[in-house]
Amino acid sequence: MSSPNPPFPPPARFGWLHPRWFIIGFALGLGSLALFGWKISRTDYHPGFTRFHSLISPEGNYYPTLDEMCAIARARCRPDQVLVIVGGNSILLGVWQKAEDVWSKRLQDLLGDRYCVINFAFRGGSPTDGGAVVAEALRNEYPRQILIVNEAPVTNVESFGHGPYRYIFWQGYFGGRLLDAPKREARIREYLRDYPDQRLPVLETRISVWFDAVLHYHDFWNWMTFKYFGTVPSYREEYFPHFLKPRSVYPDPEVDGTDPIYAEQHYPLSSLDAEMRIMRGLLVYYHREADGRWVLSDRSTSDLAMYGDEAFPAPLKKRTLVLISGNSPYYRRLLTEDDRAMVRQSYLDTVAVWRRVGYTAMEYGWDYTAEDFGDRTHLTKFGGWKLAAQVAPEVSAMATRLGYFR
Amino acid sequence: MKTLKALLALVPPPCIRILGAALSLMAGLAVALMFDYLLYRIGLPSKPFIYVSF
Repeated sequence: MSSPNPPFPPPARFGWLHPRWFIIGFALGLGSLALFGWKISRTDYHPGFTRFHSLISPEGNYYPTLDEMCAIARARCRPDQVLVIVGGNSILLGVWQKAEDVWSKRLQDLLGDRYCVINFAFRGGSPTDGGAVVAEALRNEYPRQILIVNEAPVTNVESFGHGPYRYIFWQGYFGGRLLDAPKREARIREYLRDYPDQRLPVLETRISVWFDAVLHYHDFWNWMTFKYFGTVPSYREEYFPHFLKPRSVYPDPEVDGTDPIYAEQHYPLSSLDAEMRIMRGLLVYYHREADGRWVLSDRSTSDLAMYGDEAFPAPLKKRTLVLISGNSPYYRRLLTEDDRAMVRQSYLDTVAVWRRVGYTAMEYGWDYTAEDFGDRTHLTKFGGWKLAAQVAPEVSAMATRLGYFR
Repeated sequence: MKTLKALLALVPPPCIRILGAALSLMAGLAVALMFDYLLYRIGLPSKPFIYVSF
């Protein structure tokens, strides 16, 4: 029963709260978290790191930060070693290869102790994502560095990353850790002009990067998620309470594609049509001359050259090795002889264009067998090892050319 | 609640002030932790990876 004369003013619900002490606690808490986050951002907490597998990458709702990746590189690469960063997509990540067999480990074995190979490739990544940003951010700490990236033939590369991994580029870009690159700047301005719907998200990212530069909350909560408990559900794990498990307890889920139990998954008949359409897709860029030669259209050639030229800042081109990824002969043999000639020409043309605009480039896969591939484009460990054997001498030659051992 | 008030009445006033300050400090720390986490979650993309990538 309520009192007939309630007190006025009514007693405050949080009357016990001392505003001054509350504000001191808030400031102290935020300051301590920021300090701890800053320390975490310079600490490697990925023991035995091999690659960002699906539970510790954006696929699994875990977004490694630029600082986190730089810390991984610093913890592994001695100043007297040449830092070799592998960027690119799922092919270089090593899909169909278990962590212990992954091609980048073989590359490390072949290159020896003078080099330190770190795999920062991501599924669906482009040459300018993840690893490329880390390499650029570490250019002064590790001036002796080589970046290995890959791309499909006749594919234009955006200079500021793409899709789910662009946040790493923005962290470097808005954090002032990347080189001034006028062509890239122009491309970003053009992007914001042509896609007005992206202006607000980019502005939000910019503000977020500024806040994070002071408070380091991304590094702190990533560390918490990785080591102690997951605060963000993973798309690859059942919901509550499973997502609370720390990400460090999940093993790398990638399987060995050479295991016979996966034989039927490599080239399923259900995807034959789609894969063949992809194989023949390059035809739109080509025409045939009267003498039977396949020729890449002028427009495609100039686009490829322009995007390639802008993809990396000029001073970093010489240390970048671009691999043009081949397709499995399983599908290639189903092409007509003419189409096969066109596909072959597309690899040669793409390599030639990348070289023309200042990179070291090579293609791989044409002489590989169907067993070297786990599907149309990903390599099994056998293919990965062939790739490592092909790439290692090229990396050594680049290091010599760049005067890294002088 | 009444018991709590009765118990608090037994505590000398200087101790009440110290207890209030300590509780306020801890509340500030807790809110700072939540605010920090909120900033982190706001910074994460809302669209799942698969829809952004493909």
